[in-house]
Amino acid sequence: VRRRELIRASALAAATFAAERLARAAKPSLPMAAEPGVAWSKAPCRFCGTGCHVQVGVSEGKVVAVAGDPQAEVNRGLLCVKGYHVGLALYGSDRLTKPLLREGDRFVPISWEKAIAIIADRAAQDPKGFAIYGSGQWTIPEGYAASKLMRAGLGSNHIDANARLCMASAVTGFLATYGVDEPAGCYDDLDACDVLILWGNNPAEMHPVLFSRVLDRRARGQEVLIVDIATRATRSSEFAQRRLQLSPNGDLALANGIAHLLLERGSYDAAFVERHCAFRADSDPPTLEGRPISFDEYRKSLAPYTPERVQEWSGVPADEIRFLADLFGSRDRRIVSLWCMGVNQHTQGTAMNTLIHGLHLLSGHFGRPGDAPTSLTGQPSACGTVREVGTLCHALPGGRVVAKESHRYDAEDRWNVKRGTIPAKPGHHTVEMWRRFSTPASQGGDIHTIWVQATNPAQTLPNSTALFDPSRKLEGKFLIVSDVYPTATTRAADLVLPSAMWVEKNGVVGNSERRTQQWFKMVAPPGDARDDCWQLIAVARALYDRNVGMRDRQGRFIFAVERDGEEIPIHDWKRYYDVNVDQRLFDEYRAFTPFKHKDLAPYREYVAARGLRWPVVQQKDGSWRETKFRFASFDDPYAKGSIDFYHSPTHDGRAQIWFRPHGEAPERPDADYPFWLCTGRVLEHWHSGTMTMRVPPLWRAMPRAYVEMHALDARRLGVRDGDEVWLESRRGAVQLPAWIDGRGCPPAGSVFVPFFDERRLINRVTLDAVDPFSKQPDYKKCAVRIRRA
Amino acid sequence: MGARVVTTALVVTLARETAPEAVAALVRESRVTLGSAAHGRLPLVIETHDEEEAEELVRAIGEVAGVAHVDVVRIDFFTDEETW
Repeated sequence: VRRRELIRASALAAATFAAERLARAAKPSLPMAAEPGVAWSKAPCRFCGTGCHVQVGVSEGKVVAVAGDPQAEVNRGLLCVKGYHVGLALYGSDRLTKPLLREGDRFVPISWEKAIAIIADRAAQDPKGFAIYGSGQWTIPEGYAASKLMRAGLGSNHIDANARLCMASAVTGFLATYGVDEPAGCYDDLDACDVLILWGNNPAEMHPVLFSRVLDRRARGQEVLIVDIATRATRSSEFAQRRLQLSPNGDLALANGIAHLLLERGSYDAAFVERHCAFRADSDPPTLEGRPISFDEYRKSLAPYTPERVQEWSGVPADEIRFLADLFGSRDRRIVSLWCMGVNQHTQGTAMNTLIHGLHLLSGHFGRPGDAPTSLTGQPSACGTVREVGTLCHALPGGRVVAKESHRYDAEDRWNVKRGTIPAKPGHHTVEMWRRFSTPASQGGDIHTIWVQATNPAQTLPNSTALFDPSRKLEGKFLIVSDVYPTATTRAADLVLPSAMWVEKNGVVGNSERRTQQWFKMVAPPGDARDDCWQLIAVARALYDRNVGMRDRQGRFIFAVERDGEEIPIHDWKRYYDVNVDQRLFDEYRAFTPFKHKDLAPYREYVAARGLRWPVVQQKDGSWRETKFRFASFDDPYAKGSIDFYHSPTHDGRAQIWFRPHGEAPERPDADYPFWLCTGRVLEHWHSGTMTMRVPPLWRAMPRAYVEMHALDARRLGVRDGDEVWLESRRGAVQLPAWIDGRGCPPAGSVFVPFFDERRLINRVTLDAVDPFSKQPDYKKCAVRIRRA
Repeated sequence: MGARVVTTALVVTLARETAPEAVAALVRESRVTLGSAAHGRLPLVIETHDEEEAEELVRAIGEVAGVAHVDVVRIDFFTDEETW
């Protein structure tokens, strides 16, 4: 039998396996077919926050095949177009392979020793002006190491992550409602719901495997009503039975309109509310805790939100608002709400998050499989690394915050560093960090050095002409970037470090449904590329050697690792893989997690599993059990009674239903800038495109960014399909080809531009106004004008 | 050096009424190896010279009458005849 025939047979077995899984929606009993010369191992996909597991085939030190993992509950053997090309993302022709130092207009290769010394010298000269800007693409051990380096090692909170830009408002929404972050439900809800409401969400392109899970139920003859509420039609709209065209910034009014009808009709769940909820409104000055209000005050606040008035604010017809109230008012249909950037990237993002939670609580659509408000994330470990490890500027591991003395003391004890090491004041959040970096020191620009890992701020920061570009011309500002490919940010950097990616290193990540997933290194990184985690530890050691922090109470290096009583110098790259550093860091971090009942199992438990959803609690027989549905006693071991919000902000087991008024957008179209601009992603590319634009099938499918326009607007401006146009805001301009009535259909008066294309930087145009609680910017609404190029 | 071959595993969801026509059409495509259909799902493998040809063929399969949906479940890259 020739090898080709074996590969064909193996591939057919994989397809049969997946077909069986799809048909029965259950794990089949067939084993994975063996293939000579190819070693198969599991890993979560490198790209989005869904957390699909892939089987990675390696032969002769190279990834040669990728398959959906039929053992994985998340994706059941399927992958999206990005996922099944994820192996090719390793093999772009221009991988970074040497540390590079800027000398004038060019980069010169330098040694790792010199690169590490340069970073340590920058940090040592003024530790308070040194910042790390990380990522939801950091693995959990990487993020934990970065947080420990900054807070325990350097005594600084100037660490933030790009997840600030995508899901910070989801965090504040969960905290304000339940007193603890992250969804109560999980993807299993998608298998049990009767109604799926998409709030400004386009899962057909952004989370396609999750969306196909719902469509697959339909293919099996089950009825699932999909309601699409969005400011533009998307691919998800094509599958929705109800499509509600929302005006930009109309979402709060719509949510309040639904709540108003639930109260007016008496169709809210009075028993659920009575037992499990309390009411809140904004305080003056506004705080995340707000102020308590009575049910009557809540009802009175909602009185103006009649269907007709809400129609004016939101653009959604009054009858459709009544239809939504009918859905929420019906207890015999189970409802899942899904949202992501459309709700989060919003100057009222926290408010809108709390209103969606509030609708589910008010109507009792909570705590049963298929009844859940569920926010999704865009990065593979936005939840695991940024939210759980706590790599935001105010956070500490396991849900602690720097502002609370007891939390700081606890972290200092666990890290065995001196009392008072961790400052009580949060560091600069992302927008502020970059604003300070782009401001001269003499004018308050107190950040002199930023070390960026696994993200691309030159392309993704809002209003980048103000937040990023000035720093590159200022004296004394030094930008360090660890990445795998040249990017808009590496090209502007002073020092570039080549990083290992995905299966070139060990990793642990956490997806959107609280699932923690582990993988092992399978292939070597190219050239001198090295793990981000090693880079952090090497810099920490260089600082230790310079006598700048990085010491525990006994004077030992804070990242010291021992084996059999002997210290292993993991800061030496040649020795880094002598022990499993990921395992050491993960198990150290794990001790922080029971505090907010986000309990993780020991590292070894994740090795065999396709991820486990926290809290993961040990059973009497010694096994570890994951939790699918939090706060519901039928599944959550910490819940008492039927429903128990055991981290309630009011400490009485109650979740908070908020009143949040409809407000004005920070910028609206006017005579000079007459169009709304919305930005976002596309199916084929992931985030800033640094990986997917190097995968030939993906860039061929979507080779460049564009501006989507309505045909009426195009005709009025004399723009034909494919014409180049200038899109301008008060902040900047970008030239793009017009796509008229293309994939998405923005209504007349609004346009859409994806942000994946580094040749056409749409974030020169966007607005840097932020949500007052989450500090997350609004990428979905600003005013622009368009003229032919 | 032999020709490069990209092997792609698919699951085709068949429309109930026109499934036999779809299978008949797929049998005629020489680059396709069919598995056994069960519960409206047909596993199959396609072999092409590169990813671009694979993409086109996947698209074409999606347009065959009686094919409701195509899922790609595995791709083998970097295989060439010489190593076989």
